[in-house]
Amino acid sequence: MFKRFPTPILKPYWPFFVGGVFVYWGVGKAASASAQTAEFINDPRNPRFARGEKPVELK
Amino acid sequence: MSLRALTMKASTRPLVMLGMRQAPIGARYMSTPAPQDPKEKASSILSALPGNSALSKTGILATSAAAAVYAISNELYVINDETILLATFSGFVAIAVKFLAPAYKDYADARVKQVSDVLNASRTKHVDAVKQRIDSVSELQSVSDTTKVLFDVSKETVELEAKAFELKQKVDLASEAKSVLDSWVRYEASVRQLQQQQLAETVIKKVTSELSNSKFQDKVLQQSVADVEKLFASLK
Amino acid sequence: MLNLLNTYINSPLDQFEIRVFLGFVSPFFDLSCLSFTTFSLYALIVFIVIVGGLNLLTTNNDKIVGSRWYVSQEAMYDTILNMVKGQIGGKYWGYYFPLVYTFFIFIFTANLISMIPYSFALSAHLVFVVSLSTIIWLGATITGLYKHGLIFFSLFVPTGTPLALVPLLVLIELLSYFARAISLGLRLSANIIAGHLLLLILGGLVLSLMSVSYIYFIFGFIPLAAILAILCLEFAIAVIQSYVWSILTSSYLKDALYLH
Repeated sequence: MFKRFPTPILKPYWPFFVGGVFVYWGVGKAASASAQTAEFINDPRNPRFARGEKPVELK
Repeated sequence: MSLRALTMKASTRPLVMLGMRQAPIGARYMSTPAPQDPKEKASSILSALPGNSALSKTGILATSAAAAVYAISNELYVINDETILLATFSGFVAIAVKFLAPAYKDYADARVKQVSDVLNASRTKHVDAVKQRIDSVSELQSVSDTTKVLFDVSKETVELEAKAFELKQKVDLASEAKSVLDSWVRYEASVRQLQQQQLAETVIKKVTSELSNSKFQDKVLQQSVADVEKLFASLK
Repeated sequence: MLNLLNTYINSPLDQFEIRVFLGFVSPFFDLSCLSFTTFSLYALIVFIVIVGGLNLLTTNNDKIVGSRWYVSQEAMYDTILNMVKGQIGGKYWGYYFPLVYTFFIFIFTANLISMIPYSFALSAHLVFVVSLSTIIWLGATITGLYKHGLIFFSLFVPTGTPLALVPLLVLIELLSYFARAISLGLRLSANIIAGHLLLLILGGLVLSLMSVSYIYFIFGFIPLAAILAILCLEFAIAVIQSYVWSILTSSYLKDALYLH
């Protein structure tokens, strides 16, 4: 049913995998940074609350 | 279009279509039936529903309408903004089925036909090529007999050649022997000539040496005188 | 799990909300990346539709000549193949065709599935789509730098520029090159967001018009027809945007591979 094709994957696509790792890392950093901002720190969707943390008093 | 024909995968097919496995290339398993008049179509919608009497069929329609009303009134289904989108989406699907699907069907049929035509054409071409080859080969049916005759002829030729070579060698040998013998004959003749010449020379030398001898001169003179006297005596 | 049918939509933006169906909780680690959400569900649906619907159902029982369903796949494949061949060309286009085709078929399927009412638009999520476009941009840039070394930067100097203008032009070209990373994803995402928002807002307006009285209910079919027209347009946009994504991807790849 599935045919095997001898197309090179790693040879032409390694820059994209490297890019994917970079973007994954960067987006993760940005997400956790934005979760700490005043706008989202008390948002009920913040994964902080799933770990049982308490809402933070904002000045 | 029958989705069932699509989902019938290869594993179940031999059981289902045992009778029609030798299908030609490009058989249209999913072709829609020929257009029919609206009355038939309406009855076909009814007959597509399960059940076997007109009462149960209209009953199904009525029940589904009632179920919709029940669902709405009991807030199982809430009418909201998306309901409008559901209606327009159904409209789009209807439009797609009505106009896009036939156009796509024509296009797809043309493409399938084109591909199967190409395949069929190449098949007939191949069959023709094989037939042509068979014809061209069958012209050489008597090739075995011809080969036998040719072989016999070549065998005969070889034998004759061998014989001719043998004779030629004999002739060569004879001429060689003749030339050797001839040379011998020539040699013998020259040797004999030389001996005779030598003999003649010795005889002449002896005669000349004898002539210079005075005793012999006397003897010859007396002989010739005696001859002359005898001659005179006979004349008398 | 939320009952989707019973959820009253308050804001038109609520249709893009990601809900968690199955979450994992740990007091020490943040396991929110493992939750099974609306997004995962629709990614799974798209995957099943691509593999099951578009490939398995179109094999026509492994006959030589395909069915009518198969012709659609063939046409799509052929379109993208010719596009990639025309855009990238040269020696390397074949290496990058699988990438472009995968992106096309994914975005195409996700866009079309998002057009079904009550469903979810994968490609309306800016973080996801812009991440994808940034990966493509980064990958193309690394490919170019790896292939050409420092000569890669000649991409930023258009041919036949007067020497005095070079610094300015390099600055502009560099800016436009960096903007590609965002603009590729933003183009797709903004189109899908705008389409879905417009449809839902218009749907809400027409609903409130039709629920006034029976006469308005009858008259409401006129704007309903307009929404139908817009819906057709949105379907066209869904298809065109996926094609535009793949055409731009291949053009960026061409720039990185051959430099002009």
